[in-house]
Amino acid sequence: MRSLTGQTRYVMVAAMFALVGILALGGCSKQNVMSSTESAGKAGAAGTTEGGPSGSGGSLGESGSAPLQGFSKSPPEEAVKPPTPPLVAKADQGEIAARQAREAAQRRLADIYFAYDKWALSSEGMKNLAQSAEVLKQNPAAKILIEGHCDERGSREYNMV
Amino acid sequence: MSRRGQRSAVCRQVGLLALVLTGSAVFAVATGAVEVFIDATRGAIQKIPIAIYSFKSATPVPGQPPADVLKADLRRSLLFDVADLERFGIRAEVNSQPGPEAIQKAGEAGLAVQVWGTLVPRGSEIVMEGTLFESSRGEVGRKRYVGSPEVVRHMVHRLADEIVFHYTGEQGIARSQIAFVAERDGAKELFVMDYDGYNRRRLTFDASLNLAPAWSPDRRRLVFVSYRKGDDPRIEELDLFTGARRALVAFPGLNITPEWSPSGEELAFATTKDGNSEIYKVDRYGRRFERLTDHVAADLAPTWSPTGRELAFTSDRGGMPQLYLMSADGTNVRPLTYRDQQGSYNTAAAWSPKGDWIAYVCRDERRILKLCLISPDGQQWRQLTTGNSNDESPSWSADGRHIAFSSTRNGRRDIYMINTDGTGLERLTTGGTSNEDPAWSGP
Repeated sequence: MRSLTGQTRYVMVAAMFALVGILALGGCSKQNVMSSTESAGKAGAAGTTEGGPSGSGGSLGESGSAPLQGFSKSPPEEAVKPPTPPLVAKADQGEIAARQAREAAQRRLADIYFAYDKWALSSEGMKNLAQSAEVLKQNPAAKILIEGHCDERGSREYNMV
Repeated sequence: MSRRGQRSAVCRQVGLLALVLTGSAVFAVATGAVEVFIDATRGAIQKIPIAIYSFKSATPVPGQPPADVLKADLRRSLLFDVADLERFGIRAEVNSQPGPEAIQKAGEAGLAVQVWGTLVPRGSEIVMEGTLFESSRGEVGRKRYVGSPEVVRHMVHRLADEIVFHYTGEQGIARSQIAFVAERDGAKELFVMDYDGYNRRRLTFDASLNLAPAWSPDRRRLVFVSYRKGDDPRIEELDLFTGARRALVAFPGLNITPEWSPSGEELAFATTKDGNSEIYKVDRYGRRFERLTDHVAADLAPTWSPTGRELAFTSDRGGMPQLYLMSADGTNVRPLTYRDQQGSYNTAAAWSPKGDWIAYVCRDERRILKLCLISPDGQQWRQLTTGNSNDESPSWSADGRHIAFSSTRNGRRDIYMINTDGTGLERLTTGGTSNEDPAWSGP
């Protein structure tokens, strides 16, 4: 929850005030997570190979693991093998479905954006905020989680904290 | 043969070759060997001139001609000056092993080292043989590989690394792999590719976010940050041999920026379990945790020195992110970058495998992210990349002569490599909508 500059804390404080009692769910990053279900269809497939820069395909030889042996006049034959077993982390269909359902429910409340390096709400953010307030008034028993997210500007790992 | 003996034999050869470079005095001086080390950490090394004959193939092989793959590998090693035989009036296409006259003739043209190869089918497999010649003594030796037609590129990479090893004692990087994150169908999934961008393979199908992969030194395991269990990212480990996957660090909050120690026995990472981001270590089994930093500011993104005795990391304890150093037990914390010297925003440190440089992301006065290099003593510093693109996530090759990174220089984010002197920029990815977070494996 950190914007590019030292203004992060202002952003956070502003976010807290703006969202008191109101639920804002889903940030930029989470929308990325949820925007597709297609990859799940490939669950359990063997490692898919894609072409390189000039489109050449082929499987991977895990040749890096065998030590170098040096040159000799009558060299032994070295077997170069395609990839060692599965290599693919199988998708957990139940896990993906549960996550998607959870996020779909959360999407009833819209995102509220700040401009870059600013703590003022955008006009769209104001509108979404008002709508979210309505949803909450209609669901007084709902439990809510407020999250703040930064966008991709700023270095990747520093933006995460 | 002892390691020492081996090394000196290598040096003699290289000494001889360096003299060959001087041209006219070749044969006169070959015996009065002046020894020249190939010192990979120095910029101005004398490259070894090498010529590659076209490989004779009794069967069609998919993809690029093997000789071209070998030339590219040897060029990238930065140890060889790959010459064009035809330019010296010597035929590169040969139907049988180059004879003594051809070898000699190329030697007189200054091409002291030459390589030729053959590919012969055997059942459904291909047998590739590569032969190394020196103009002064003819055939030095050969290598023989067998495998499916799809692994011919890897046979050539192995041959390239054998040649590098023969002349320098280094392992070479042609067999190394780069793990990275690619956007697919709106999710970020883990991939791995050869160091030259070929043979991309997808590792995860999580429909979630996977970030920041890091290799174990033995190249067997990848750790990375996964959001698949919800909003608190965990550090997971994927065994590339078995496909087994497990959570190593799953505290409430963020668990990010994992990095294996050079021994592979410990993992350094950052977690917000204590409220704000702190750096921890954990053993390879994910059991014994040790807190290294304790500060109200955010500490994250640790990188190990090659000795494993020190860590560099990012902290905003001075108000803005800067690089700091500490001992591997968390003591002796001191700043490495300073606002008035290196600018107000420096992150994502990556310690070179030779220990002499730390690459990192620096932000210029236009607020654009570039790559910079600083020596661990802070005495030397320079900007590595220029231009209007955001360059991020530096990761070193095992030979310490290249850095892989992500860049927006062609619009979308893709992975590139560059030599540490700023030359040799090469784009490694083209597919998908975004490719980022490269992690370069060991040799």
